[in-house]
Amino acid sequence: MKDLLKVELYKLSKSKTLFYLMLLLFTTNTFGIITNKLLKNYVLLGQNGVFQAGTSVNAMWFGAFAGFFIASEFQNGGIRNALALGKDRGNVFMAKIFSMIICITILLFVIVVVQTIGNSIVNGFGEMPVGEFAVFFLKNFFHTIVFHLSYAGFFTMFAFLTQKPGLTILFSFCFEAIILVFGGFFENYKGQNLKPFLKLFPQFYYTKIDHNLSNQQFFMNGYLVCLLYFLIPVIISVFLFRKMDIK
Amino acid sequence: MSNKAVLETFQISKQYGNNKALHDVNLRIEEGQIYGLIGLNGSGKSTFMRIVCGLISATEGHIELYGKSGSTDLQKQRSKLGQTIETPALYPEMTADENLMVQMTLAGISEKKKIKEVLRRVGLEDTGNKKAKNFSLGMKQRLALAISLITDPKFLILDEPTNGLDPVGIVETRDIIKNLAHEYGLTILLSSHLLDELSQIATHYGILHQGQLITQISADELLKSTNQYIKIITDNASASAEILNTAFSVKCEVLSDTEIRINEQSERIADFNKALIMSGQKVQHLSCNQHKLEDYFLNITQSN
Repeated sequence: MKDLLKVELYKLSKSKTLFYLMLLLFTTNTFGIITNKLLKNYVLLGQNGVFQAGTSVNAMWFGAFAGFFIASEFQNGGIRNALALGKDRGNVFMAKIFSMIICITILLFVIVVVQTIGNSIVNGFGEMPVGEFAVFFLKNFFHTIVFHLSYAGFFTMFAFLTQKPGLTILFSFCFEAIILVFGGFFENYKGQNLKPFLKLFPQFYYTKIDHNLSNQQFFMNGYLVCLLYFLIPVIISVFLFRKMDIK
Repeated sequence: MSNKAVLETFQISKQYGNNKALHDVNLRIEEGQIYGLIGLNGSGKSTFMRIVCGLISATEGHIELYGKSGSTDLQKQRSKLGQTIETPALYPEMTADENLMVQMTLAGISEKKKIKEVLRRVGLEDTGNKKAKNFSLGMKQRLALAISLITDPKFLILDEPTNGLDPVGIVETRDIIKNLAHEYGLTILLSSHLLDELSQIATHYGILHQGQLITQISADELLKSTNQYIKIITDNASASAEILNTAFSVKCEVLSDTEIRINEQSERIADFNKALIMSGQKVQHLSCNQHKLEDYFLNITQSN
C-alpha cells in the first residue's frame, strides 16, 4: 500500500491535469470576485473567503480530475501494470481515492486562498485579528474538505466502473446535476415542507457552514451524511473492482 | 535445462456470455524456456496472458505460478512477472525516465541508476528525458519492455511485442528478447503472428486454436516431426515427375508446370539431379528444404 501511495504522489507531482484544474479554478474564482465587485451583488470580506469553496460549479471540476487522472489509467495501462505486479485490487482502489482526496484538498485550497486574498483586495479583509483568523480559517477549511470528500467516493467509483475518462466526467456531471435538482426541489417545493430532506445532501452542509459555526449538531449530521456518501460507493467499487476484467 | 515449472495451468476456461474464449487449457512452461504461443486472431492468446497476469479471472480451472496457487500466493508470485500485453502501457505525458520511475516505485525499488541500465538494455539510451508521446511505435514497444524489466522479473510475458514494427524494429526486438533469455536467464512467454520470427527465438511452442491448446511441442521435437522435402524446378514438371517416379519409385507432387515437390528420399537429391539431366531435363533449381513452423501451424490448425 505504501508503494501505491508513493506512486500516486509521484504521478500527481508530474500531472498536468491537476495543474490545469488549479489554473482554471484560480481564473474562474478571480473572475467571479471581479464580476461580483462590478455588479455590486454583495460584499464579501476577505476573512470569510474560506466559505466560498462550496459552490457546485467548483465541485464539478473534481469529476474532471477523476476522468483525466484516474479513469485514464485504464486506458494507458497504469492499472494493468499495478495489478500484473500482484498489487491487491482493494489497495489499488484506495490509492486512487487517496489521490482524489489530495486533489480535492489542493483545489479547495486554491479556491479559498483566491477568495480570501481576492476579496481582501477588493472589499477589505475585515476586523478579525490574525491569530484568530488562522484558527478560524483552518477549522472551517477542514470542515469544507470533509464535506467535499463525499464526492471522492462517487467520482472514483465512476472512474473505475466506466474505465473511460469521457464517461467518468459525464457521470460525474450528471451526479452533480441530480443532486442539485433534488436539492433545489426540496428547498423550493411549495406544498408539504420537504426541507428536512435537504439534510441528506452534502451540499447542504458545505454551503451552510457560515450560518452554523456554533451548531455542533449541524457538524455531526454533516460528518455522518458525508461519511455515508463516501463509504457506500467505496464499498460498491471495491466489491465490483475485485471481480472486474481489465482490458 | 531445469524441469521446474514457472507456470502451469489446469483446465483453464474463460467464457464471455455464450462465447468460450478459452477451453480447458493445460499448459506448462519451465524455467529458462522461451515459449511461443501461436494462434490466429481471437484464438485466446491475449485472454490467456491476461489470466496469468491477474487482469481477468478464469471461469473455470486454476493456475500455478512457481508452484503456488490461491489468490494470495499468486499475488505474491506476480511480483516476479514482467508484462507487455497488447498496447504498450505508458504515461504519454511523462518522460521515459519518469515512466520507469513510476514502475520502480510501484515495485518498491529505489535504485535510480537502474533506469539508465534498463534503457540501455532495450536500446533506448539517451532518450530518458524525451516524453513517451513523442516516441515512435517501435520506441514505445521498447519502452514498455523496459518498464516490464525494471522490476527485475524472472518471468516475462510479451503479447505481440513486434506488433506494428518495421523490419528493422522486428529484428532489433528479436535480438533484445534473445539476449534477455540468454544473458539474464529469463523465462519468456510470448505470442506473435510472425511465425518465422517466432521460430528464430522460441524453444517451445503452444498452439491455441479456437480457445483450445491443441498441441505443445519443443523446437527440437518440431524439427524432428517436420519432414524435409526436395524442391525441383525444371522446364517440364510432369515429364520430370514421371522420370523420377520410374527410376526411383518416388512420389512427386507437381505443384505447377515447372515445380515439383518430393517429400521422401531427400538423401538421394544428387541421384535425382543426375537422372533428370541424363534424361535431357533442364534443371533450373534443386534444393532440400525443411517444413517451416508456418506449415506445421497450418497443418495442425486445419486438421482441427
